[in-house]
Amino acid sequence: MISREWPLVLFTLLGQSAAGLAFFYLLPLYSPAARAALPQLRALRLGAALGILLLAAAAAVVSLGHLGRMPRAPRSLANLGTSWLSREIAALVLFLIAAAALAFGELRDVEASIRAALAGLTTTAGGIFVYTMARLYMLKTVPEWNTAATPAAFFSSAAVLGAVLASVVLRTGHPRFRTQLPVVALTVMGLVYLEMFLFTPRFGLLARKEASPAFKPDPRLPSIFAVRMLLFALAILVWGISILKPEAAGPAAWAALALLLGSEILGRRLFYSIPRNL
Amino acid sequence: MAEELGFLVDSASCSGCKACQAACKDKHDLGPGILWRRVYEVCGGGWRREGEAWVPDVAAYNLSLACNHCENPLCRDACPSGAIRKLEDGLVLIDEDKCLGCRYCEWACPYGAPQYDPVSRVMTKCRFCLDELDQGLPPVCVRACPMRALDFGPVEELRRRPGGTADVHPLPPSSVTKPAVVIKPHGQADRAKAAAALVANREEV
Repeated sequence: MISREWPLVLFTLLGQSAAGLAFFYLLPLYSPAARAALPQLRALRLGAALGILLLAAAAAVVSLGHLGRMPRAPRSLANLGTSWLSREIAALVLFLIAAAALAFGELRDVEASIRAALAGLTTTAGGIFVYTMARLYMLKTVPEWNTAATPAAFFSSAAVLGAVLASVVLRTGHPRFRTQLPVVALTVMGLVYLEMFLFTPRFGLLARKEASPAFKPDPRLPSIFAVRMLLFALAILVWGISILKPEAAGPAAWAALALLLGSEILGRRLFYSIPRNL
Repeated sequence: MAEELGFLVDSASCSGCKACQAACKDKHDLGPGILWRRVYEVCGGGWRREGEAWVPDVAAYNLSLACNHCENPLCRDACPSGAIRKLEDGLVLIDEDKCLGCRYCEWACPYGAPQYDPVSRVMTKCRFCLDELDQGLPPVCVRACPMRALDFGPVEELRRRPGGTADVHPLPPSSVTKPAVVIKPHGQADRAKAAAALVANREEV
């Protein structure tokens, strides 16, 4: 991978994790079942809001590493009319504000309906953020990016990272809080595996295979795709074991998360290897 | 409204000497790795069997390209800071004082025209040698070409010259950005497309 893409790899992974976590973590915590099952629910909700805020803030900080002139970062909002990059930053700012407001609401124990509304706003802002992030790559001049496979891949990453991360945190920190989240995460992993198998640009069964006419294809990429698929399959297997064997749940769940992250990093390597111009 | 300016590239005449590239680099004092004008060496083909004999079937030519100052500049639309603008005379310029150095314009431009300067940490690209034009002189790349393969002028006038196009392998379809460039293709351009010819000097450009 070209070294200059590393900030973007981290930015997209952190941002998508934050958005996925907002969806899969906040939902069970604001459900009626959670209220009945967890006396320490408020602390957990505050932790969730702070966790999402921390991940999104880390994404924002890391993204600065991609700029030549960091002090000019506020100017990135200057072209909301036509630039998807401007819109992505605006969505990230909205996501950060919503998560911060939710954390503040939990800290000050404001009215339940307001906190629920803020949780909804945070989840929605996370979704908008992932959408703008995907649209940014759908450039007319890059045919392999300019397909529905790009938002599909970004939302898939957000879903799988969010579901697994939420599940790992809940199972490790609050083992008595039983939800269907591990099984939901397993289902999401299965669906995302299928999505990768079918739609990964250039390698997926149904993917667009039209490469730039000016470039010789990199011979290492098929092997990288194979390793990515293998790591992901292992993550599913280990995650399944963690569900079936509760005594090994903690370490197995963390191992599955590590395998998943490895697979996602290789996925970004494939994504950014697509040639963008002459 | 002023007439929009553009370049004319006679690919059939270009010998690939890269004098245009060097003149541009020299005039603008561009650092290592930055080429506002690039000469692409397009090569493809191989051997073809004719009866009992194998004969060479090679398509090779050079293509000198700078910023095409497109009618529909995707770099401008992509730029988050509004640092790229299109002037009345068609020229697309980067305001380096506003640029963040995010390099998104580099992705959006199918010709690889905007280039990152690691010293100033902003994007840079061809300015059509505006200072030379003000003195009534052609851009330095045009002046440097020993084969007279480069020319410039109002793009509509260049388009009226015979044999010109902006759709030459391996460039993207001109309908995407409507580039202000007219290329007289090399005689082997169609064969190069059929043979899926590649840019042979990738490390250089």
